[in-house]
Amino acid sequence: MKKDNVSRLLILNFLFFPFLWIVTLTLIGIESFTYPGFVFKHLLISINLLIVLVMVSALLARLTTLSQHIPIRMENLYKLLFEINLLVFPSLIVLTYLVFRLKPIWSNSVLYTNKLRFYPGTFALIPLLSFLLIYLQVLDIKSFSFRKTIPKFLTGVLIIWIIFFSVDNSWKFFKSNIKSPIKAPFLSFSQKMDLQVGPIFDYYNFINTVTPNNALIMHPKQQSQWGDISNEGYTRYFLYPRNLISEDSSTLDKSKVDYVVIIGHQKLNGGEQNGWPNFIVPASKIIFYPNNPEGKLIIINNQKFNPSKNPYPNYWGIIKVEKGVQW
Amino acid sequence: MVILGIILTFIFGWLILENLRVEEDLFSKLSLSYLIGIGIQTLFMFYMALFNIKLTLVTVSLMMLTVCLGLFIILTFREKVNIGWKFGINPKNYKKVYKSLTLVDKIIILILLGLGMYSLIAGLYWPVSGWDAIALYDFRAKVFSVTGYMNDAISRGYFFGYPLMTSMAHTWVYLLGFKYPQFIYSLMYISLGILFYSSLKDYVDRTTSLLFTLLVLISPPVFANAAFAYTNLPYAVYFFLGTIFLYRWITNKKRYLLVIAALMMGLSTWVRSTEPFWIINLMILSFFSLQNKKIVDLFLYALIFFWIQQSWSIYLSHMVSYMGTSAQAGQAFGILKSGFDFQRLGEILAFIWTNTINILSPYILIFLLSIFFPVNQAPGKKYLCVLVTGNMLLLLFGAYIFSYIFVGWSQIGESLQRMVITFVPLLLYTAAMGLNIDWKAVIQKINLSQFWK
Repeated sequence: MKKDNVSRLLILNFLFFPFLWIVTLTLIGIESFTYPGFVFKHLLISINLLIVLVMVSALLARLTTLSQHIPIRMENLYKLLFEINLLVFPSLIVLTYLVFRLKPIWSNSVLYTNKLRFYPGTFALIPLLSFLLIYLQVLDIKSFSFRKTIPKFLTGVLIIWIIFFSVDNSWKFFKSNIKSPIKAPFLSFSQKMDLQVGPIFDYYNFINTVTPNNALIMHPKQQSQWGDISNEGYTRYFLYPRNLISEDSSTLDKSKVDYVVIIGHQKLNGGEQNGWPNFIVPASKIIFYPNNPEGKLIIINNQKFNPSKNPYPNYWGIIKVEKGVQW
Repeated sequence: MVILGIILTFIFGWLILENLRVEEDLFSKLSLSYLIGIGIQTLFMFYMALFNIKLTLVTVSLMMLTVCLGLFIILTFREKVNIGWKFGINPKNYKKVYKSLTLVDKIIILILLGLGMYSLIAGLYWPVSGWDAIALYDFRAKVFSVTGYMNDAISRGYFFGYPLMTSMAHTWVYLLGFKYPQFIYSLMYISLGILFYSSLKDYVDRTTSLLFTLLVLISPPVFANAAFAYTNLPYAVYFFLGTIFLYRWITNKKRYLLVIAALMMGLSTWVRSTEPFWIINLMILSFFSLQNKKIVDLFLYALIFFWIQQSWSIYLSHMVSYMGTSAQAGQAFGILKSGFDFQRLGEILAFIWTNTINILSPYILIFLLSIFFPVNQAPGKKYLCVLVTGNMLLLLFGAYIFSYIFVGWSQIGESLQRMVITFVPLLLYTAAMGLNIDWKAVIQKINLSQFWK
């Protein structure tokens, strides 16, 4: 291509760039309020491709300012875009921060009402591009060289991307880890475990208080419907030094079992569960865990545990097995 | 009590460094003291348990004090008594450094301090609650601190999956009467930041070093583990430092750098023994040593590294049907000998790609950029590039071999995602080496009055 033609193309890009910039930001805004892929569906051009195009166009426009003689009106338009972008950038940052904070409320409406959609991740592309434009102006480009200018530009783009990507992904850890230490710095160990592990922690504590240290406790086989309690590797931590045995263990000898856990038909850690044990267990004592409306222990003595005749099917608890009886 | 205990760990590490005649600045030395101190201490606690010495506050403290005394005596003899504690604190120097900081430097330092504070607060506040930690690492610690021995934990099964480094470190904290051992990881996170910066600042300018330290510490895989009792962060820290100190030794040949590299790489296998990445470092070192006729250094590295690596490996081979390193290599060779399956390799590539690309892509891109378009040529950078690329290829190769050994290999995507934390600091370190940002020009441009020329 002749040098004149390259110059014409660069000038054309220079003219075209401010419009492409505004159109891209508008489309990103629309996509963040509709759904990912909305622009592609209706205009047959993806947002990602537009972003790449606008970045290339921005870089070329910046280079054109260095090497070409540009008509004053076009240059004014270009300057205006930079100035407006610089003025708007801080408010874009504040806006993005706020929309990220609103995410839980807004995303609920995305899922359930279909009235208002909002994608903060897509919206964040607007300040990202805005920052890129500022970066381009700051970038020290004396003259264009493929081996120097392009890596310089890409390095900046990648660093900005990494910062955005990291803050976006690490923020949730930061928030969840720092909220409690600031709001409630003097919580007890149990309260903190409750927050981290959930209500099952209280149930483990209940077992620890009603069983001796050397007890052998039977639990259901590992299945998601019975949650953490069915996972021996997990449960043993909380019930140590008690010994655990699974109902499907090859070494199970029922005559040696001292206790059997009771899982009620109720929600624990989310989701409906089936009760367990789903078979009859000879019991010298059945203790229902005080996670019931009355908030107290319910003790039934000398009555076998029959799942079909369980008076408290929703309650958790523990069965003290009656020794010497076959089951 | 816990403060005294951790100070003892620091002193232990410091004495090891003094004996090695380490020439680093104060903060780097403190970080190295902690990492080496806690690593070797847990290894010694493991030896105590092996010799049926009950792990109690008294026995562990006595062991530590004895070893510290031994190290102190050796140091005293070597330095002809009068060993001045060379902390290198000179307030005037710090004042000078502070005055030379630019606005960008100050902002980054402030954020870095905030990150360190965050990690410490979270580590000291939250009890252990991660799934794997509860099922294994902290469970073992709980049993060790209650019984003082390993037997009970062994008898309850699921014991030999990982070496005991983090479990023994938790045990130490529990013996000291503290319930929140996760601050151990916070100190590792802070040490990573300090040592990343100090290892980089000799090769690139201060602002670039600070910026890349920030990028490492806020990277999602590292940040997620900043106060979390999993083995991924400790492994990444030890492995990264093992590699970087080896690279530093290659560029300036000071022997203490090599010893630290060997200690760090050995300790990485004391945290997670299944990862084979140490092989690449050993290969590069062998090549370099043979090329430069540094056989003694190779021997020294191997001696230190294998002392730590084999401690767990030999124990494991006695306790369970565990294949040693050579047997594993033999198995890998056998798989390769039976023919190379390119279709399987393709599947593995797709598997690695799907599970890691979201996390690693920006880091790989900036790494590639610095390799193909280097603006700055740090000395010996080719070795560093080979180390990083070799380790990445080993991940692929290892996954290929693993797919033949473990039928359910495609189900372990989450583990793979956690494993990539190992590569983030290395990729960023290498990337920073190839870049040279003209900060003065940037800062000048940020000055709004000169914004538009």
